[in-house]
Amino acid sequence: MKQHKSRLSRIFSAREMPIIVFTLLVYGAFSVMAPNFNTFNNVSVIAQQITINGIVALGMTIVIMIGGMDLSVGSLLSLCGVFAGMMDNAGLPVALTVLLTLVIGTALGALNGLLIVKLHIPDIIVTLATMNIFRGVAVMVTRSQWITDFSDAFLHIGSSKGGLFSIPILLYVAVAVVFAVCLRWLPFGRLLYAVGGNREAAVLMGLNVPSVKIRVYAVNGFLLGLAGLLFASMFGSIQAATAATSLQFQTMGSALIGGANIFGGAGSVLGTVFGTILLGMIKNGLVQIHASEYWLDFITGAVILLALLVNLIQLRKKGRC
Amino acid sequence: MVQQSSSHAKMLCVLKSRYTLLIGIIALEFLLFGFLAPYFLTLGNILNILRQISEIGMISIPLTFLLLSGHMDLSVGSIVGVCGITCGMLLRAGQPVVLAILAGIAAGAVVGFINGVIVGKLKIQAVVVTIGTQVMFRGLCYIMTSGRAVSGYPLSFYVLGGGDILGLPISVLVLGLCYVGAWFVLERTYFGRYILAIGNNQNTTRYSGIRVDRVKILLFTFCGIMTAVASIFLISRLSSAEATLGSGYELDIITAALIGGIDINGGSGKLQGTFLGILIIGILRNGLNLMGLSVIYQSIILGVLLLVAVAKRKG
Repeated sequence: MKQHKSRLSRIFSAREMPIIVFTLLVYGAFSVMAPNFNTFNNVSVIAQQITINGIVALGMTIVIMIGGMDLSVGSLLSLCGVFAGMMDNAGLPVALTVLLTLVIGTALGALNGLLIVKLHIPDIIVTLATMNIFRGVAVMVTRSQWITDFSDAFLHIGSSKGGLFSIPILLYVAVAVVFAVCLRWLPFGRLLYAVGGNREAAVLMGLNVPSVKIRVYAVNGFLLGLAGLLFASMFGSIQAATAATSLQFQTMGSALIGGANIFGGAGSVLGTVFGTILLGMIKNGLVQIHASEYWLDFITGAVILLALLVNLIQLRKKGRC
Repeated sequence: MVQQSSSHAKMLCVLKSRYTLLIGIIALEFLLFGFLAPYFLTLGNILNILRQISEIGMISIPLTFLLLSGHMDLSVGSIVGVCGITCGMLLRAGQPVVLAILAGIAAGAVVGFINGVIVGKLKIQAVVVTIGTQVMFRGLCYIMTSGRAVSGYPLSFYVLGGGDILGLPISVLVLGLCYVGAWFVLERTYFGRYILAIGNNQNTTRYSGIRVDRVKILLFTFCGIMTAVASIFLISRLSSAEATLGSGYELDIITAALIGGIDINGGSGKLQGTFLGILIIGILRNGLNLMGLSVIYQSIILGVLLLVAVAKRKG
């Protein structure tokens, strides 16, 4: 019977469908309320604005997928960003700055994973601690000063165009495609579903769960290094204490809205991308309809809770909870 | 029987050694800061430390209960904000002090109840729920204040945060009373047993006929109420309420409880451990402040302390 399902009905019963429909509805609503919302200009502004959150949200998705949680993303992004900026200020060639920043991000991400695995501390506690440690170190190395005056080549990363789109957007799309392919077809991606879906079974299958965990946090760190680079380059300056302070909530929101399950084992690139678009659109739309910016946090929190509820309902339907 | 009592003695020994260690750390802090910060060892500063810890101390009680039951509330910092701002706005509007305080506490009860219902009835992990409500409640703070500080309270309100009875600050006395009451509930009542039972094995507890979901809702509501009480003392001491009021409190309190030997997975730990943890952190912050070390460096130290505290337990 299942084979006879038409392609169309399969598309409509996809896990990501509720979020896609909801995103389109919100888009429509804002288009009606704000005349400047539904314009090419504004859409490209939104696309540019969501790239950093989008990249980080993809990392958050695989972390949540294996049953983890990373509260330290904002701090690690800030740390990578100030390192990149300081290396550029010191006159390093851009290619080297980029390489070193990505290495630092990967290493610190792996450190999160190592602490979780080796000290047997829950993910949330480790990253609560490193959230404060990374942020503190970032402020310490910059002595609370703004890092700015970057070289043209460095600023180029965030502002130049490759064809019709800017480099950050192209990078975001590239990362998303690589993630989608990995999770769908490559062994490492399937491993994540196995570890997140049923840890005991994964251990019994002979999978090295701790190593998977460390690698996932390392990949997450790599993306944070990339996002930190983009942050410094796109804004032209970065301050350690204030950069990306609520990033963990924004990205967790995107991932959860997109169908990632806090118990692990579920999550999709498409869902997370739409989750990011939704939050970015709400942020932009609130400004467009002249609502107070103070509503943003409240709405983000409400959307996270709503996503948890939808998540729960989907799970209950499948009888997994 | 013999084996049981010997394992009991062993556990007592471990507990004892942890408390000796904690008290040792406190003594070390006194020694260290006594040398490094000249003003540290004065009666005025000791009272000041006690006054500073009284707020996080009050919140640490329900949070210890929650941790013991295997739960966590990361939204307490935001609840401090919501309740303090509610109370402050009513005071500024000229409402009677008692009414404003009651309204603040009611606000705490409501937001705590919301947390409790989502965790207890819908059975979503407390950590994730309270991350969501943390963001939401903090957003509420910004909406309520439009980013401006709320100040200008009647003089009689400042007695709470600044007044003394027999030389001891009122907030410290209230903290002491709360700790004694909470200790009694935890150690001498059925309800205290239920909390530990849920932390040890939720399913067994439910099969024993205990309404686990109701206990959870009660615990989260209690957490909201105690947090509200703390926020009222806080705004009285600071004489203003900002949108960022209380942010980051959760780290201090959770770290204190874990240093004090509360098991992160619930089921074991003692309230007096949390209290010693609160003292350690309060003294640390005060001493570092006197030495002129900024808050952000303090959070590095707290972060490391948190990792060390939890890692040691698994040893």
